[in-house]
Amino acid sequence: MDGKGSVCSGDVGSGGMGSASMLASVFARLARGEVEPGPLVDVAPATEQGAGTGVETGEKAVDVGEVGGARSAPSTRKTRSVRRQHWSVPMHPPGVVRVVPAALCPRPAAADSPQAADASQAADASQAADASQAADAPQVADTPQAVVAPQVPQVPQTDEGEVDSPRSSRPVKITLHELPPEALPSALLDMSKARNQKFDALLSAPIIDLEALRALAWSGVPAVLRPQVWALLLGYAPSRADRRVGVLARKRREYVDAANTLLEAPFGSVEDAIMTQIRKDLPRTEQSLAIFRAERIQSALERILFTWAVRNPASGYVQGMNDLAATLFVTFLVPQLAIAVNDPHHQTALLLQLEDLSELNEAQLALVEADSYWCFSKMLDSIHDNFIVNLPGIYRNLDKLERLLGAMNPRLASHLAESGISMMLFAFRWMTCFLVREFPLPLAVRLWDTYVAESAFNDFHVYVCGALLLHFVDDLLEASAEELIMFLQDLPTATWTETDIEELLSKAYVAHSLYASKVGP
Amino acid sequence: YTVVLIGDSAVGKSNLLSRFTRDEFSLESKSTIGVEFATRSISTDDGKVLKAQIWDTAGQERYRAITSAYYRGAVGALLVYDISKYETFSNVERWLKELRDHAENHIEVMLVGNKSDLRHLRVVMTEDAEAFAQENGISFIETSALDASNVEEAFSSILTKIYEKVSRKSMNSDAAGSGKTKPMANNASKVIVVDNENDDAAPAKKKKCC
Repeated sequence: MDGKGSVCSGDVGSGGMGSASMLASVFARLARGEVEPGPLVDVAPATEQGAGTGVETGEKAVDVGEVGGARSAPSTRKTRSVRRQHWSVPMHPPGVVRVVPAALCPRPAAADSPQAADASQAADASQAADASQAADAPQVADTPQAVVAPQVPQVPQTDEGEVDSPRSSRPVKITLHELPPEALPSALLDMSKARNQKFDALLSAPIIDLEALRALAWSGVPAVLRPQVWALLLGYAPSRADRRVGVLARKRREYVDAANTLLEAPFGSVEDAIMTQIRKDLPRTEQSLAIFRAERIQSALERILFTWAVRNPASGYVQGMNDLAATLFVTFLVPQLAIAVNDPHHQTALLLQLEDLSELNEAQLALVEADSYWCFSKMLDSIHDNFIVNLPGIYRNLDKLERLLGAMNPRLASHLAESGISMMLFAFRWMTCFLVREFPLPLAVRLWDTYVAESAFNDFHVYVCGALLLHFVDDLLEASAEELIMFLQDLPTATWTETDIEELLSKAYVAHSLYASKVGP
Repeated sequence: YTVVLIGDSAVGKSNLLSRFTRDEFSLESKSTIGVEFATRSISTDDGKVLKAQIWDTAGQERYRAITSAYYRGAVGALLVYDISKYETFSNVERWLKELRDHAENHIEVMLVGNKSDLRHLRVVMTEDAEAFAQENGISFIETSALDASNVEEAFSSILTKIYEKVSRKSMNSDAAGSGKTKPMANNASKVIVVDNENDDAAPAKKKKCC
């Protein structure tokens, strides 16, 4: 489809040509630069239906009780025109991708879903979806449907003339595409490096040795392997190779369905508030990097954050989550960008400045989105109390940093205390955004390799913060109270390199070994 | 003097601060997490140098508990809304309540309608904001951090008012009770001062913004 179509997976023939294996070879050639990264060829034999409807059991999917009422109530709010964004998500082979106009395509029946247990919930949700699909029908009726993924970037469409309340200004619709094979990015790996060979050997095992992978990843992961390695270490991708493909396909489908359901359902005041805040923050997330100014990327991040926030009402969306999601997203995007621009010797910093993302196809972007969502979700699981009411996790970390500093360098600790500078004044953001704001993004990503390798995101981070303070100890000891705050809220790290980050990490490691028992949990 | 910048998120608090303290504006500025600090000194007409320590705060509700801790020591507050987003103006009342709950009684408050450069997107009328400010006994100004209009005025006006208030107060507390200022009870002084200022400020600002 070309992005205009409002489509969903269903049971109208795909006209499917090609096979999974043929597809794999195309991707392999693509990766080697033998073919243009044009449209993805389509699909495998028609053995599986497209989308399931299951939203993971036990997670908040949609408040079905609210669907009818909220929908029928016409909004009396201030109106403004809104954008409806159509988006697409690839499915992993061998799932068949079949596409029909939305009007002909009710949500896939719950019976087709592998998560039949969710049938009643899904059915309710699909009723809501049906209605909105019907409403969209005129818009899509004459859209040519194809099973081939779009070559042209999908630009979010404007529903001309649509005037609605802010709460209904949301993206809709799902399209399913074939996914690039899992192994694709590693084709870009420089195998002449021993370290890369180690990664490759570990990652090709039938059952991946996670502890060995952790140990290796601690000292940094090659950019093209980060998606795989982070997905494994964050507990999103299974370590067993024979299960991985299936599980990831299911999870991606789950994300698609969850996002779709939530975005199509009428917004209550909670959803409305979440979306409003997200839309205030995304246009000011990493705007110095060109890719974050791209509408496609903004929309993807919007869906990730919204979906997560609505499904996790204990925290909802909190400012700073945008930085975390963006960091994960970049990590997953970089290899796909490298493939898209056919530049195996890419530099992350340059890729992030790409203005033209048209080479990046929808299937790639959707893969990045779904995987980023799940890794974001896994990460947030471990740091959820940083974001719930009263932010207990943040305060715990700040207290811990204070104890750590007292142990590491009593002189600096008392200088800060005597100047009236509490940890809260400068380290609040460090704790919230995991230092993403304090370093150029590629360096923050490198830092996170280690955080991901350390299973608890929060714990080691405090030691890194301690090491960071000590790195600047000479500047800090000479500074007055005001200078201290100004310095600490804008650290001179713009010229840092990966080597500096690695030194910082080793110091943090030493501090952890020396003081962990003293500092406590 | 400690001044806090408060108001809904994305109304331009951080850019107002950077415009005032560094004469900088950035379309790429990120959301404030927690609080940020900056400082600048200005001189009054009578040659006094006033030093402002300004705390910029995160706008989101979840951070309210942290940011409100900074109200306590503040002698002034710039309560910022966005003239192109009505919701940010309707929330001003809630922010005033925050101040009443957490700040000193005598805190000098100024309502600031920011983004006045967005003339074609204006949804909050100057008159409405002015009326609201008057009802609540606070002063009011419209600014644009982007084109720098009235930013200097906003900060120097609140700093001057704080300065006057503080010097008046200290004179009041002098047992001698000098003739320059009519001695009055502290709480009475607050109301009167604020009302007067308000009346003075209104016409000046009107012609600037429309």
